[in-house]
Amino acid sequence: MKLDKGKIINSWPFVIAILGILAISKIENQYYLGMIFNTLLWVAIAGSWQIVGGYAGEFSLGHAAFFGIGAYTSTLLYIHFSVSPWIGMFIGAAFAGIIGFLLSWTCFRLRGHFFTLATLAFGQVVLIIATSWRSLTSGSEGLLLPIKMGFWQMSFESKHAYVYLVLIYAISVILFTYVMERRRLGYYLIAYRENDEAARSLGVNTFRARLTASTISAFFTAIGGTIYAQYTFFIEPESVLPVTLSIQAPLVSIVGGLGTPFGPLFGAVLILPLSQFLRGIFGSSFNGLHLIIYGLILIVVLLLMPSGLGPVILKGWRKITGAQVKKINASG
Amino acid sequence: MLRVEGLYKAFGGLRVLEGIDFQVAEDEIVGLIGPNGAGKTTLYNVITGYYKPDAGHVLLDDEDITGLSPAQVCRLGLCRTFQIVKPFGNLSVEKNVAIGSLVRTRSVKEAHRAAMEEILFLGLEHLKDVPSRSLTLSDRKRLELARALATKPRFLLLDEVMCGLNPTEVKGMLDLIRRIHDRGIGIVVIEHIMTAVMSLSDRVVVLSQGKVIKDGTPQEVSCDPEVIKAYLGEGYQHAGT
Repeated sequence: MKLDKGKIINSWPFVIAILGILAISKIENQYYLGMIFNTLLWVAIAGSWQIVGGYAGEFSLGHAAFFGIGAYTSTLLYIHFSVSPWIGMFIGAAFAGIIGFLLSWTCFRLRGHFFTLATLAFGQVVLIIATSWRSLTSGSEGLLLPIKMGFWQMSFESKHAYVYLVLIYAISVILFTYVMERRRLGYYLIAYRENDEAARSLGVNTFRARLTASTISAFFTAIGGTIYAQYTFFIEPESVLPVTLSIQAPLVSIVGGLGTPFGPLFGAVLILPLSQFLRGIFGSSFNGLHLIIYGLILIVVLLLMPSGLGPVILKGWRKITGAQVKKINASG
Repeated sequence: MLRVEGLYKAFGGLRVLEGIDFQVAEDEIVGLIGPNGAGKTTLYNVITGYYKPDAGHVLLDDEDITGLSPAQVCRLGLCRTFQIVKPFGNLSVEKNVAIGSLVRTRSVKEAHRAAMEEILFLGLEHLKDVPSRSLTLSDRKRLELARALATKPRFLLLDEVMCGLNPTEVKGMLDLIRRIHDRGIGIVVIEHIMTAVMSLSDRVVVLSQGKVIKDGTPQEVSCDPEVIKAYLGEGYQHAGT
């Protein structure tokens, strides 16, 4: 019996999560639905980024490229060949995976900052290609998706459908990370992050582990691109390939807690609504003020919690539940 | 049998290894001694694939393993430890060792089981959940050994595992190395603590300026005039006799 009660307490987060999911269907305010969509999208993007950025510790600043490749691949296939975005999504993801593999295969020979700089440059190169290859991408004019509602078109009237879609996406990324952390690949990536030489001396092919991770990371990031394109019905280089996306992915992960499956969740839940609210409150009164406050809050969070929000929250949670489990055990 | 044939290695104009030949059998403990800069650690780095030699071969049972990556070398049963220990600092002792076990199994569960065997063997069980960065030097050296043993090596190359330990700890480490050897693992030790090397080794190889200047029993080596001149110092002979 003792164990059961402990289990019930530990299952609370799941209960809260399920109630939250059910509550989404009750929200009719478009502004909040949009905010939830954005937040969940960033849970997934940051989660995808940290497979390579958090676990392998390879600080990529080029993930916008994979997001954009996903968005453009599915959109172009849809517009020109009427390929369902559901299929286009996976083709785009596979394509991004291949590009991610090739990029890493060349760039993993570079160490630390040089790797980061190379990925940053790569992101810019893809942005420039998308802007200047006008015959394919219409350049800065962007691409308008056919507005034809239907499940097969991944186009929905209600925002709820998109929220649920991105929710599945976010859960998949977290679940993958959670499982990976407990599998050999996760162990190998962490071993590499902690000490490459030692890992290699223990028979770890760190190069292969990192290649696998960055391929998967690119794959998952690209899926976000497709979902975003289907949500906005319009993509342009500046919306799906911006360098700010490449920066925000690690930012969300770091604030939430690097190298933990739930880190991106905490990071995104803090950062995205925060930036949106601040823009709403201060955006009109003083130009740029919301960004200053936003930056200050992030600095304070990172100063107080250098390992991110996630570990702190989980620790607090364990303390509370641990105390309760103890109390239950003591009383009966 | 681990055999090294005519190994040469230079860094720019600095010739570190100049034709090294020696061999180790599974039933041997071989001491590798020599003054600082003699090329001992470089030799390890070349044998285990961190550096590619300019010439020469590394043979494991007549199979040429020259130029393989460290990971491949480890898979074939040749594992080394580092002079400056390199624990996976944020991971628990158990996870550290489990990473070593994973080279022999895909299953993480199985790896943890195998890791616990080595942790018990090394007497680290009370520390298994401790993050390895908070271990004492002595325990870190043991962890390094546990990790290496978890890869199920046939040969173990130890780089100054006794350096920085107090006399009691050195004694414990000597005992441990003998127990590892009893498991049928061939061992090479780089060590500066002469009493330890001499009591431990079946054979001692002396390196000086990139060359093997003597290869013989501890007795032969400690009496050799060239070795005394190059490394042990004049006082050693008197102390030994």
